[in-house]
Order: sequence, then C-alpha cells, then structure tokens
Amino acid sequence: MFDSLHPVPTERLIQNLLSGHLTQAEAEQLLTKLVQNPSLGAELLDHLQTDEMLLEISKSEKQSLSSSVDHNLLFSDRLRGVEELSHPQMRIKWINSPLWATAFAACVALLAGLYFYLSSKPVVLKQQVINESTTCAVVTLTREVNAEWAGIGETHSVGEALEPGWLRLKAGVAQIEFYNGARVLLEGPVEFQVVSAKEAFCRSGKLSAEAPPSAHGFCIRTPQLNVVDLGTAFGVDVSSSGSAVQVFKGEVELHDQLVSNHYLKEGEAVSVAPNGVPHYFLASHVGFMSISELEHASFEEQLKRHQSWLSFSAQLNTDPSLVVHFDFEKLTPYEDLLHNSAANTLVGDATIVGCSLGSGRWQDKNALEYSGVSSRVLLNVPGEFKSLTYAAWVRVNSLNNYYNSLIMCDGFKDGAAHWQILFNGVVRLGVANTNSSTAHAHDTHYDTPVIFTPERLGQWIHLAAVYDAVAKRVTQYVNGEVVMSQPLQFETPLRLGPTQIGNWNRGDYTVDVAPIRNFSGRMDDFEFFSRPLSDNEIRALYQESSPENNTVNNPQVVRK
Amino acid sequence: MNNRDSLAAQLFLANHGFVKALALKYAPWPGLSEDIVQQVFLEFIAKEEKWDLDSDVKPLLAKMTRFVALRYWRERTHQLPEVVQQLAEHIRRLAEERHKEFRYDDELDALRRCLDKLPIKSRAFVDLYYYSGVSTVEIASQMKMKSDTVCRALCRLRERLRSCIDTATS
Repeated sequence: MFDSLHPVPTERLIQNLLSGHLTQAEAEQLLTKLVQNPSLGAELLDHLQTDEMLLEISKSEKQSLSSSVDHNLLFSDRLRGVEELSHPQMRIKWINSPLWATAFAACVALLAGLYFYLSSKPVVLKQQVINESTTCAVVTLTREVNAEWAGIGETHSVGEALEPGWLRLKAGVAQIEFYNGARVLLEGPVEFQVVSAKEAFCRSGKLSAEAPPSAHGFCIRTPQLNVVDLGTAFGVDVSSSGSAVQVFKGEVELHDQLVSNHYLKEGEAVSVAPNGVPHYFLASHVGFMSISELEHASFEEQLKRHQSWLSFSAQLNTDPSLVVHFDFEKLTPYEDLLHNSAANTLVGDATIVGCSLGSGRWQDKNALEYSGVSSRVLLNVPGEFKSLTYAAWVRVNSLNNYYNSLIMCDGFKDGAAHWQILFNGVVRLGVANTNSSTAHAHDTHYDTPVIFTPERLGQWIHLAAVYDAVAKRVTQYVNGEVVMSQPLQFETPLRLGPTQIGNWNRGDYTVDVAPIRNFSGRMDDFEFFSRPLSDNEIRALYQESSPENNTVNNPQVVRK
Repeated sequence: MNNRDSLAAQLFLANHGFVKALALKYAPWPGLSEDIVQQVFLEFIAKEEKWDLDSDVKPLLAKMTRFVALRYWRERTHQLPEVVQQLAEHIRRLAEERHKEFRYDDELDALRRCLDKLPIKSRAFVDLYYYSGVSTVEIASQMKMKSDTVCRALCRLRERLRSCIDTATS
C-alpha cells in the first residue's frame, strides 16, 4: 500500500494536484506520466486553468449571494473586497484627508462596484437569498503556550475562529478544535493546513489528535499517508525521513488515497519512509504532549503572564498622567465600588450598577460582565483635557445596539468624547463641538475600519484611542497596532464630567424614554491617560497586558 | 483616495483577466495565481505616482506580473519536497512552451454559460466540490461511490467544460 510504484489513476493524480493533496510518491508518478505522454501536459494545463476559473466563479457567486441582500450589506462587502486588496499605508492614505471624505466614499463605491462587476458579471443567482451572517471558519484556536507563528505578520489569538488555510507554528504549542469536535495539539515547528471541518494536512512537524465520536472519519493527511480516525487518540510525526503514526487509544484507518486500507490499533505504530516502505513499532506517548500536559503548561504560563502584568501595572499606576485605571483585580461578587488604582489622580472610585463578575483574560483574574441595558459603571472625571488616551481589554459578546458604549460622558455637550462600538463592528471616537460661534460647529467621528466581525466576538481584544492635540491627530489601535489615524478636524478641549463606562446617560431626565447604548460583554482593564500615548507605548501596553505572548505584529483590520 | 488611485485601480481591474492569465502562465501551480494577482495590484497601486496612466498599461502589468510570478514561484516551490519541485518545474516549462492563448475574461464568460448547460448530476459535483468545498472523499461518502470515481467524474467534468469553452470562444 505504501509502494511508490503502485499505479494511481491519472485522474486521481490530477485531482490531488489541484486540491493540494498530492503525495511525493504521486508526484513522482505524475512526473513520469508527463514525460512519457506529452499530450498529458496540455490536458493538465487545461485542468489547471479550468479549475482556477471555476474557483473564481464560485467565489464571486458566493460574494454575490452574501452581499445582494440589502444595500448596506452590499456596500460593506464591496468595500471589504477593495480593502482586502489594499495595503495598510494605502488605506490610511485614503482615510487621512477629511476633504476627500465624501469623494472617498463615492470612489470606493465606484471602484468596489467595478471590481465586483468585473469579477462577477453575468452571475445568475439560483438560490433564495437569505439575510444572515456567514462564516468560513471551521476551527477555533483554544489554547496556546509560547506559540511563535512562522508567517510574516502571522499571529493568532486564543478564541480566534480560523478559516481553512495554513498554520505555521515555529515554536511553542497550540491547540485547535475542529467544529466536528476533533482536538489537535500542534507542537512547533509544524506546518499544518486546515482543509475543512473534517480534514487537515500536515506537511511537517508533530501533532497529537483526540477525536470524539462526533469526529468519526476525521482525516489527517501527510505526504506519505492518510490517517482516518475511528474514535481515537493518536500522534503524527512528519519529517524528511517520512511520516509516523502512533495510536494511543482506539483505532485508526490508514490508506494511501487508493483502495487498500490498513487498520492500526491501540499501542501500534507505523512509520513510512518517503519511498513508501513501512516500518511497524510499538506506540509510545514519549515525545508527544498530551492535552492535560498542555492544560497544565497553559495554566502555568497564564500565572506567569498575570504576575508579570501585575508588576507592570503597579509601575503604570504611578504614571502622573494616568487619570483612571480600573484593573478589576480586587472585585468580589458583592462589591459595588470599583477601585481606581491610579496613584496621582483626583478621580475617585466608580460605582458598579447591574454588572456581574466574570472571568478575565487570565483564568485566575476577574473581569466585569455587562449583560443588560442597566449594566454600567459610573464615575466623575472633572476638568478639561487637551489630549487623552483611552485603552481597554474587551470581550464583546454581541453588538445589540446601534451604539455600544465603551466610555461615554453624560449628554453630548461641547468637548464630550464618546468612545463606542457601532452595530457594524466599527470603533468610533466621537467628539462633540456644539459651539455655534466656531467656524466648524459639528460633531466629528473618527472611525476605524470594521473590527468586530462575527468571528471576533467572544475574543479578548485590546482597544486604544488617542486624541493628540499636539500632533493634531486621532489614532486608534487594535491589539497594539494602528488601525486608523486621521488629522483632527477641529480642536477643542475635552470634557468628561459625569461619565459611564459601558453605557450612556443622555444627561437629562425630562423624558421617560432613553436610548439603549449598553455594552454587551466583558471588560477586564480600563485606562484613561491625560496625554497622548505614543505608538510604542500603546504596543508595550498591549504586549505587557496580553493574555498571550504576542510579540509579532498583528494588523487586526478586517481581512478575509 | 485621490483621482489617480481611483484611475490606477480601475485600470488594473480592467486588465484583471490579462494579469491572471499571465500569472497562470508563469506560475502554473494551484492557488498561486490569485496571490500573484493581488500582489501585482498592491505594487501597481503603491507606485501609481510613477506610472504614466494615460498610455497602455498592459506592457507594464505584463512586466510586473512576470517579476512577481517568478519571485512567488521561487519562494513557494522552494518549500516543496524535491520530487514535487521537479514536477512543478516540469509543469512550468510546459506552460512556458505552450502557444495556446489563454483569454481569461472571455473564457470565464464562456465558462459561466457552459455551467448553465451542465446536466443536473454534473452540476451537483460542481456545487459540492467548488461551491461548498466538500472534499472528494466526502463527496464519495455522500454519493456512495468510490473516491476514484469522484476524481474521474471531476476530471471528465472539467474536460467537458473545456471543450464547451473552446467551442464558445473559437
């Protein structure tokens, strides 16, 4: 069965080439056939071209299907299509000029429309269009310890939903859960491709997998063999000397994508050399990390990072510009006062209303859970601020309201700075300028691109917004990276006064009805500085407070 | 966004098929051409101030595509096992030596029309494999047939579509 000379039908060779599942033995066979039969080359190129075109048509029809529901959705998806193709500098360049704001929207719509038109012109929709969100994600990253991802700019966060594609782990350990319930523990260095919710390919490196009954049939391919799970736990090790499979529990089915099958039972193992020669031996856990070992290592790592954050946080609290710091460290279920840890501030403790206690970004840490329209934290921030920085760790559960408050001062008086997440996942810093005596009497919105896609809900995300009156810019950050930066449209001293974190009070009680703007999710850390923090300071704040060891750049704006 | 950004992007989009066809010629390996097209787009837009957008941009795009494709080809195939690299190189030579013109946009239009003419069963294979991303193994399981049969069916399907495209564009 592992004989490299075992003839594989040409159609299968072509199909495996197109789907990226060609083994080395099959590559050798296909090469031989191409050399022996020159007309096969032309046929193969035809297959390749037709396959590419079919993929493009299916992609454009999917886009068309998901975006032809209503105008807003259509526009945002088209816009996203263009954003995917634009690099960050270009995106910022587009956004920077307020004078071009209107032209921007029109041009992007035109461009996106053109791109969309060109890539999907005579599309006929044959299915009924349903207005619902869709996702291509098939696995979730559930745990990682000292994970270093190999791709440039590649990094992943715990809780992240991942679409089919490559995971290249340079070092450390990461655990992913397939949507069929299979759990795979990757030990760096490893090159692993998620193919679907039931299938993966390991090009090199080591992994162990546990598959519950729901994952029966879960398949891991390697260059030499395919392992089909039959309710089991097994380890796979792929190197230049071949692929090895060790069965720790249950039974797996091995096959070479042809017809001959072979079963490997608990305690059995086989390694297959690149030339297809198998060697059988006894399975051993040695060299493979178990899920429980990972859990232990993960907990240890979390404790270490939490302790490290506490040291950094203590130092941060002495920063003279720190006005408010809620670290949520000493919360108890019966506490209604939230301690402001900033050492040099006139702002006192805050009052918690309608919130409950939840677990924070580390297992042993608390966070504040906002679960309803009444959830809020009340504080009073006197004075005026020329510049300011807001930063927070949030885990958004849902975006139920048009405006979902992060921090909003009561009402919308002159100089009020409202930081909020819009219904569509955009993060907005809004500044009010109601003074009609100025030439630019209007409210200004500084919006990020879409940050909170459905896949990002339920994940801990670090947000920061900087209003810099000296540089005359507003900059927003996600996980330590700039996602938008715009010149100030007008300068005004910022005033907060009575303020709510995670909710809003319109500021007058003359009518009984009030808009609902509550945040829905958890907040684990909140800082308010009276100065603009630099890019490096924001990045350091994120890295020091991150639940994971993230040192790789991670542009978090929407991408496919 | 300024007018040149807009013009450059429009010009690129108008030549998207041209770039895609070249990408497939210079780097004929599954999944590579789309990355090349996107990279050419980014580089074309990033340096748009340098280009004379009033003249025909095809020669410029051809040069850029060739350059990017060769770079990507080197980077990606370098990671493959030796025997797969040999196969890839052989296919690249075949594509380079091929004289048949690949008019991507025209053929894409023709393919759409050809898809509409497919019998229901053939269309089911297209829907499952290309639209729903179901693997050949899973299709075999769903349709209670051998996975080799599914591979053969998909190959026959593409051959049939190719023949239809050639007829429509000849």
